[in-house]
Amino acid sequence: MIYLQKRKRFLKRFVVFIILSSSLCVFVFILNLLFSHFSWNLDLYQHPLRLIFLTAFVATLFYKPFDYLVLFLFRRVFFRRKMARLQALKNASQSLIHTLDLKELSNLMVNTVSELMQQRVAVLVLWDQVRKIFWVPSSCGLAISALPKIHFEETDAMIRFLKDRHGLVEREKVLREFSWPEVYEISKGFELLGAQAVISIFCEDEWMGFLSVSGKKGGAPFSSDEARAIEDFAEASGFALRGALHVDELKQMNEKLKDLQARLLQTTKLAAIEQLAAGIAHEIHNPLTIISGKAQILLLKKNKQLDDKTLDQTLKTIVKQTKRAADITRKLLMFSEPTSSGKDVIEFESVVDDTLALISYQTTLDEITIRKSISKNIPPFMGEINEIREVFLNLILNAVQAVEKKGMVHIQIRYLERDGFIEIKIQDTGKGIPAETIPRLFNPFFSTREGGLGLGLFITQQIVHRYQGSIHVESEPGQGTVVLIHLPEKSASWGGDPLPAVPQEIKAES
Amino acid sequence: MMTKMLVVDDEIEICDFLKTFFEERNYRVFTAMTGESAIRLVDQESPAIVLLDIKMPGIDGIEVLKRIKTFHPETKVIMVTAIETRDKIDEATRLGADNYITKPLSLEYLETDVKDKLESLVR
Repeated sequence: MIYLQKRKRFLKRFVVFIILSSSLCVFVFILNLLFSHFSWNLDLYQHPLRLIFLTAFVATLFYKPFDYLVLFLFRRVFFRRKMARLQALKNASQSLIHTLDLKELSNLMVNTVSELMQQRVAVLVLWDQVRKIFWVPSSCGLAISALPKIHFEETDAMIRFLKDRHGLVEREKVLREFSWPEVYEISKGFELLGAQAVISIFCEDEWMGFLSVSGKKGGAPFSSDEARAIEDFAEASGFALRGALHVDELKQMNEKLKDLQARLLQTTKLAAIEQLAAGIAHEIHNPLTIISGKAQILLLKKNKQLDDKTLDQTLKTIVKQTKRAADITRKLLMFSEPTSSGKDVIEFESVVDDTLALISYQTTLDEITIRKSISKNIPPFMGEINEIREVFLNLILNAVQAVEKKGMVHIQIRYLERDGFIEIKIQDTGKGIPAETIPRLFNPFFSTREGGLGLGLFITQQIVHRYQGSIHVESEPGQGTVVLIHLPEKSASWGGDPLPAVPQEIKAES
Repeated sequence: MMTKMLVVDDEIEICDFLKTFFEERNYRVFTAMTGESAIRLVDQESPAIVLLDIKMPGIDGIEVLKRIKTFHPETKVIMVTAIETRDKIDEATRLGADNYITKPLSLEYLETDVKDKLESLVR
């Protein structure tokens, strides 16, 4: 429905009345003619009662259609362009609520008002409740250089003035309404914006900011139907703005969370590496000791005869030990690498081997047997290598720590072809986990180890879920623990026959 | 008569070069790579001096130190280890270790120290 201002409504009624009356007369006339043709004399003119009855009948019947007809004429023929614009503004208000992006919404608002109301300049000013500042998300027709000059305080007369007003406020009216010096303060605000009129935007009772417009090109004031249209628009935009502001807030929080998670991942890596420190140091210290020792022996032999065999052997040992130290540092570096951006084909066996190398000293010391059963038919798996390494490191470390001395850790990886999953199973003969603790295992900062950070399983679960996989823990105190992971295979490009899994035993060498 | 020495380390190469070095200097060197075999050899051979690593699978160096000082108090024990933490050093000293040398080590220094400890035995 379009709103017509009083004047137009009156005009419309008048027009309708005229049309109705004239068509009534015409109708009566024709009726009379018709009847007289058939020699039925209605004698309408002699019987005013009949006339009145007929008039009422016609009026009732035809009023509504004529009303619509005139409305149609008004819209389409006489005031066409203006009505169209106001209708467009109405439509635009309805689509505002669907725009969730704050930037997009602000732009839509100022552009719509500017274009449809034929305003030179339209500026949206919002009040940030949290940071207690005013800011301009968007403006139309105003040079960027002018924007920083738009600066308001919550205590400004204009702001206080606006907070109380629902509806379009025109500068001229303000000047007339208020007394000096208030007017001076308020009109300064108007000047800053280059505004002829300002309208507050509310969402329910919350004051969100205001929209200011510069006025039409000709300088003509707003008609009441235009004012009404802008007011409706402002009302609709209040709701839309609140939605968009919430979405914006959520987007920012999401970014912060992602950042935090990346840092958490880094922290858990460091925590894991801390646990490996002693073992790693040993793996570097001993090769250095051997190299140093053997070299010193040669040096101290200077005076005596140096046979080729001894020299040869010594140099070979030095080379071997150097490689040993280099290996461990390289593996350490691999784990400390920041997450790369790409996905690679994951070779599960080599990831497991790398992880085992890092803990080999620990397992040797504690006389822990590590068993690997990795089947040969696992399809190529696309994944982020650091994430997969993280998962294996966390789970194997947990298993090794649970076992303490003289136990066994069994790592199994197989392909469940029928269901399309890669199954990773890590079993230990450690002390097990009581039933009431199991549901809490994956909670962040939950640890059963003294001084433990408690993030390993949490991060592991996050990573597994990211690959649309699942992770379960089965355990009984005294019976050890089994951690089971199922990862859906992404690309099945394997076509060969599956070979039976070959268990390999790596026993600690004494 | 050659002085008997026991070298204990879980790394075979280390046992090897220490043995080479001291055998050249007329010591009779036995080697052990675990705590258990170290204790057995001490009981069997009664070496005058033991070069002892701490981190070993099974019974660790600190345990071995305790046993030696309990049953063979006259045996000199020099801890030769990669671990440098204050509390480990203090623990070993408290249990009667005659010295604590960290790896990588200087063979010359080690030789001097061994001679030193053995001389005090004779005195």
